[in-house]
Amino acid sequence: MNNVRIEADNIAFSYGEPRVLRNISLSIEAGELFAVVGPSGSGKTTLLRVLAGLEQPSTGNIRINGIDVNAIPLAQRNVGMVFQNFALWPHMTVFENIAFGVSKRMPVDESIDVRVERLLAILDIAETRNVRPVHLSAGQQQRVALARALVTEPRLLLLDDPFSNLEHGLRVQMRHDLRILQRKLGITTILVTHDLEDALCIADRLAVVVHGSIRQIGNPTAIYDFPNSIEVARFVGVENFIPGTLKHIESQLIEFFSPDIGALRWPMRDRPPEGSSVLSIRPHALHICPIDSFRDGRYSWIEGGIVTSEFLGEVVRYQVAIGNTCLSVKQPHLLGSPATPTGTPVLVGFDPSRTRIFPAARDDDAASARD
Amino acid sequence: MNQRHRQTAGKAWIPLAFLAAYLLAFFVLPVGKMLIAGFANEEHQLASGSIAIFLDNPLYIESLLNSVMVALGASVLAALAAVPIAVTLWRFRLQPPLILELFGFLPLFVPPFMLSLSLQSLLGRGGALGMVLQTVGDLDPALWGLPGMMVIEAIHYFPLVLVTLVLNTASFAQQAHEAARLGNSWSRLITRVFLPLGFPGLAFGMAITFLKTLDDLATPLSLGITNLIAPQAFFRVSTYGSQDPLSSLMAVAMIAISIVVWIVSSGFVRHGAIDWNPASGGRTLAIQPAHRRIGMLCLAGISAFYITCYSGMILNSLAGIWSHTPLPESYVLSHYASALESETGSFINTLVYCGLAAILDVVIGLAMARAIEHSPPRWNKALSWGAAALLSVPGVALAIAYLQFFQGTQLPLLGQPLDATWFLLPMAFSVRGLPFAMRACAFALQSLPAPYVEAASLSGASRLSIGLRVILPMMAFGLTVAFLICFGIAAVDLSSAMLLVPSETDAPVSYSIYLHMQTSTGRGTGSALAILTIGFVALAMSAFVLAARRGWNPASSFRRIMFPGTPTR
Repeated sequence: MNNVRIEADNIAFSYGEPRVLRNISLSIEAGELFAVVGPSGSGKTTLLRVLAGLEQPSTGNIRINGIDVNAIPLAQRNVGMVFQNFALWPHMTVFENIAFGVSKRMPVDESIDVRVERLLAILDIAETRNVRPVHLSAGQQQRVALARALVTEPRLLLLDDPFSNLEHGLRVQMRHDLRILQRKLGITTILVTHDLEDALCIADRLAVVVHGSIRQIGNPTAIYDFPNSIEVARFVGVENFIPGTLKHIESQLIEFFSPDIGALRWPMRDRPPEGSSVLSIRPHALHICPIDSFRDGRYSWIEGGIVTSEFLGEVVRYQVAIGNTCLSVKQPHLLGSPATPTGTPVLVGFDPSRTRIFPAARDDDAASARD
Repeated sequence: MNQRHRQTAGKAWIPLAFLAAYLLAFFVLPVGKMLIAGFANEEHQLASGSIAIFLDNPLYIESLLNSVMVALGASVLAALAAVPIAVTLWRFRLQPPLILELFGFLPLFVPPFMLSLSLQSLLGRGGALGMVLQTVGDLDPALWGLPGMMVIEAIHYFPLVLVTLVLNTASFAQQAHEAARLGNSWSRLITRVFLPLGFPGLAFGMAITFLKTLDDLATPLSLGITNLIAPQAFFRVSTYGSQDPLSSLMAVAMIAISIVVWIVSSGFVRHGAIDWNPASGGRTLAIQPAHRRIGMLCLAGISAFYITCYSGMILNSLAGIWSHTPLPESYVLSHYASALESETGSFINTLVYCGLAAILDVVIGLAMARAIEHSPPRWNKALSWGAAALLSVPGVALAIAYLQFFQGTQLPLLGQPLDATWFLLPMAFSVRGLPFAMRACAFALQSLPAPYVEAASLSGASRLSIGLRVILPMMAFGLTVAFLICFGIAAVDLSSAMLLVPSETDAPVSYSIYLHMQTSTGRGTGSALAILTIGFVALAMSAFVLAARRGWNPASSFRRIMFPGTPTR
């Protein structure tokens, strides 16, 4: 397989107004599995289509190994793509689906049959060779779609939410298999998904796209632990956002004040700017204790009352009212222990170093994001 | 916009330009000229002369009112017969099998004059039942006058009204049954659920019955009824030529009435809540055997009634000697042999005219469907309804418009006058079939979502290869259905054919059947031809059912195709 580096400079795209993609710039290294994640309608599939050449950007350039490919016809770009619904041609057998187009593109150093059979074997779908797609399971269809995308030995593999049609167990298996295959082939791959878990599991790096622009690029742990904006934090699972005011107290000490939780102080090396801010805390970074419990000095403690509880299996999710703020708290479920009843007064504790502080969004920022 | 986009946009205009040219040449200009001719004098100035002549002649006024009355009566009669049966099937949750459902659309593919002729053979003075029942009275439909025509048209279009009603309500039969078990009375469910749900289908079925009856030329002529607007227009053209302003006025009146009916019915159809797919999920309640038996009895009764109605034609096609006896004295197959032997020409004519019309319809329908699909949302609905409104142009009116517009036009190369050739027939057929073609093509397009073509494009295959190996096979079924529907609708369009056929040798099968049935010696051959035609349509529908069983599942698509103007998704 060919290893290629993809670069996109200031890509913009629109079907009219408003713009779907705005000033997208990214660089994907050779052999990397790069994920593009974001909420529905954020423009991530459009970005993939632009990179594939299925859509022409309004402005900007795409370079593959340094060569501008904007003017190169679609069929000559040598890009493989797995579509969200797999798009397997229903009137062709699995073999015909995979073999379609292979003879047209490259000098074939082995027969089409051998190449297709090899892929069928690698993807463990050899027994479906003469079957039509309608008779395949979702997992088999996905493998066939992958084989079809790989059979021409593309320079770039694009995956448009390929796991969305699979049930959970199969999804886990398929993304594991895909990762192994991708590493084995070393093919540069771009995965678009709305599911954060898919991206975190298998991507080398990921980009979070919100409202048509890239908000953050980084490796999975960096994005998860250190989201750089409220939107990214919301996408990576942060549920609690407490508005308040930030003050710098000493050189490495800050104070966050909110009418509901009062004033909290803790040391922070890279201090965010003073002023209106939002404190974000993950639900599982909060702890609940009975109101009269010993207050562990490592945590900041706030008093509140349980409004609702939901048993989710591994965890119990509580909504705790603290003044006018409602915090979402996830506590591990312990064998045999019932959920704390609604209305119970509790202490909510958190380690301030595990929180993130963002400047509060201004109205004009929000408006420009909508544009 | 980059160069590639500009090139694509440029190419997209080519089919649109062809589409506009076709609609302009074969619909807008001919109908427009006819409209003007109806209200203009010889100096081409607006004048009320022809209107005055029309209004002064009691025969024309009577014919116009008779036509409206017969069409309205036929629609109401068909609805009155269909509602109780549909309620029974709904009450007992009996969904007719696909083949019966498809046979419900048979009235669109079989001309009603065949039923008229069959009933005359059956109930006429020398007919099978007529002889037996002569003590009761004279049952010959030809003697019933306008009520006879009303009844015949109602019988002919009743299955269509029934099937549209059933399809509109079937999805909710299960929920209604559950609501009844929870204590709601059936009378309340029928008035509050069945009727509001079924009304769009009922309105559509009644509108089609009205429009087709108003436009029907062969049935009244076969019954000897001439005081209707379509026969009067036909006689005016036959007697005074195509430029006769009164025939234009009559055609305009027919178009105006049709448009009003179409608008009224479309109001009901559009605002109805149509759920095309049978309810899914939930436990299906078992149908009680007694209920199933009652429902099946209904369907069997309807089937037996239609077989009896057409038995006159079946007997005629097999009768050797049949004179003043309830049943033929001898049975032969010679009429079929004669039909196949002597009418090869009309079969070929039908294949040529209807085939050309259907091909045109598929091509134009595809272009229209694609244009509508890519139009802005606010235009989308209006364009769909605009195209569906072509249904309200009667065949007689279109034929008169063609004869007026193309008179004197010479066919290039051949040097013949256009109206002296069969060329206008397929064009008229294609315009009439366009609303259905557009629907079918819209579904054919939907069977090819963009990712399937994009996947092929990315694989590096050539455009030709993608076209032949991906696009064509995936759309083949939808396009074949479109072709067959348009072919079938064209094949029974006798109203246009009777005016546009230049000579008997150029006649299509439906017209040949009509001509044969006018003579006592030709009735056997005519009946055999009719039975062969109906058999062919039934065969095509059965093939469709077989294809459906093979997993193509086009049933719901077919239902949607047959309801032009309703949402396609």
